[in-house]
Amino acid sequence: MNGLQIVRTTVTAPPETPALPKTPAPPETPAPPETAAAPETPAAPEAAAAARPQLTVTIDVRNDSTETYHVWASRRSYDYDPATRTLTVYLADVLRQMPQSEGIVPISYHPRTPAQVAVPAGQTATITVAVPTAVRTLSSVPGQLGLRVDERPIGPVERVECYLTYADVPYQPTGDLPSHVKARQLREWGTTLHETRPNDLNPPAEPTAPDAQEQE
Amino acid sequence: MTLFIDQTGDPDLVLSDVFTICGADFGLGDETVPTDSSVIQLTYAETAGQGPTADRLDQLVNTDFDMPAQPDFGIPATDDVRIVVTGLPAGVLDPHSGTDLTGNGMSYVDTTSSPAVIRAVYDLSQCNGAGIWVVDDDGNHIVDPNPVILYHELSHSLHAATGTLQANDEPAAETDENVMRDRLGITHRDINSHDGGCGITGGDDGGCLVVTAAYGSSYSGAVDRLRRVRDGVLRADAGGREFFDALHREYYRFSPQLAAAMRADGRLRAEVRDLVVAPLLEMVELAYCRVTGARALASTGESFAQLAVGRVRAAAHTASARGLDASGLGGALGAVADGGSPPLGPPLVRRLGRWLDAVGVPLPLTRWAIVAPVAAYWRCVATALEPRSDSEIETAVAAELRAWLAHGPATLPGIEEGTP
Repeated sequence: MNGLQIVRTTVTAPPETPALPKTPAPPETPAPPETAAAPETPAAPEAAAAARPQLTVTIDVRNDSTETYHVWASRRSYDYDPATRTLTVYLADVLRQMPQSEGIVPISYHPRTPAQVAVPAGQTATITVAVPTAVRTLSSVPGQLGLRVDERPIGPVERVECYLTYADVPYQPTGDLPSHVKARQLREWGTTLHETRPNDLNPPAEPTAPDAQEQE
Repeated sequence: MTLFIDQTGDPDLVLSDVFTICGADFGLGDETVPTDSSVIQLTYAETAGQGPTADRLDQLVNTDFDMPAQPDFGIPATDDVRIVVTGLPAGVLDPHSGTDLTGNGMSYVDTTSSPAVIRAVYDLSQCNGAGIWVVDDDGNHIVDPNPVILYHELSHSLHAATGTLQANDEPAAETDENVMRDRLGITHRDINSHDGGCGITGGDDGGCLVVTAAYGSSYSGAVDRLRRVRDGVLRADAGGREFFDALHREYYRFSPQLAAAMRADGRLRAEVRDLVVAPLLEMVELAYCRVTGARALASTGESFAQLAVGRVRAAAHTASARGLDASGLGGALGAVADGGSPPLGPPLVRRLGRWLDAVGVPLPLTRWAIVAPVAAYWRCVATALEPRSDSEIETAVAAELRAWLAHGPATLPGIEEGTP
């Protein structure tokens, strides 16, 4: 079989918030390194304000083709369906559009270039992304100037639905692209793998058969 | 009066960014809106000589903008238009674009409100701590600090409010943004590149704002050693990252203002560098060597004992030559570390205490991770000013480190009381 395959997905709850300060505990043995680095792992965050507890989603992918694939490794959106206990993670911009709701006039919009992981032919990689513990959606409230963030808790997670974009070359925009052009490029870039798999750490009673689709 | 801060998200951090924009000018204020508790309204009586970014803020706060109709954009004429800034945590979904706002800022005119409102919305989490990059004139990735992001969005807002929006407004906003970058002393952005993304390591001020301000560059050896300890040891597991995220949330409440004040005041910069930052770097390196058994990070590669004795004796010599009261510094800083604000003591320490108190919330991690080791350092130096053997100095340094680390957070990796 050619192409990119998702071979395993896991979702891990955030650790308990530590009570600070208190007497230190012995250090733990660090976990062995993963197959591939996780681009969303905090690297140099002097300004890491407003960070909150997150779920950790790992997606193991295998490249069964004969060429290197550049796989998106940035969370672009997410959702949760409590009825099916399915967490949807978008490492793809299939949802992206210029802000265009009725009555909304965009004057500044900056589609970000995704982090990408190179997966050589025949090799596997682990992509790790953080996902909030609740789906947070911005909305306006009639009669007031301030906005509102609606929160829907995530959990338990038994299935992970992934949208994963990859291509044989990395996405690299030219610098002066207008926002709407870059948004369209991102939305249409490469191949997007769409697959729902069980959360290997908390699978459903009757495991979901992988349901993979690809769209060019 | 035009500029408002949304109470949704983290309005304190937004206010902190605005405070940085005005150059830590205490003419900035805020007041409640009797008819709308969802926002606070900014007030600003600019102190003369604050510079162009403060002038811009003054314009935004103190002008009643009658926004003209801009048919090319679908923007209706709106008298006395309001600009509302919303600063959000990571992971908030924007219903208008269908995507996650993490690592991003956006502005729009909301005509669903009556009258229309200009909204500037931005993520405060710096890509959930990974940092945001944009591009400089040489194609390098450079940092995009939150006050710069906000200033950029407010540029778009001003253009909309004054009817000066352009079809591609990014170059104009990025030109404005570079004025804010000048204020922070960081690299200019390429106004012809609108690229950006999450995840930046190093960079021109990817390190600590205050340390970078103290040394003038994040490429200095001292800053690099601190970064290596932080990223290679302290942030090496989830507990360490969580601790640092919490520390950064505290730290960012005051560090932009302090760094801005240091850039504007050479004497303050030198005092902070010599009395606080350099000692902190020394103690971090000493703790690293003590806990891990590693050699010094500097190219000299001394053992802990050599490092402790050599550095502390050198500091004592310098303190003596400059007439510094090491014991007084240690005592006053110790009081600040314990949450107090010493009425007596060196002016810098009293000022530091006031800076921390002015934040208005407890800063336990800052006081433990930053102030306490500096206090311990000066106590060590005071010890070395007395007739002491090398062994006694090493013992004193080890005891100070042990006492400091014993009060540390449980999740910080690699720390175990009494380990050699």
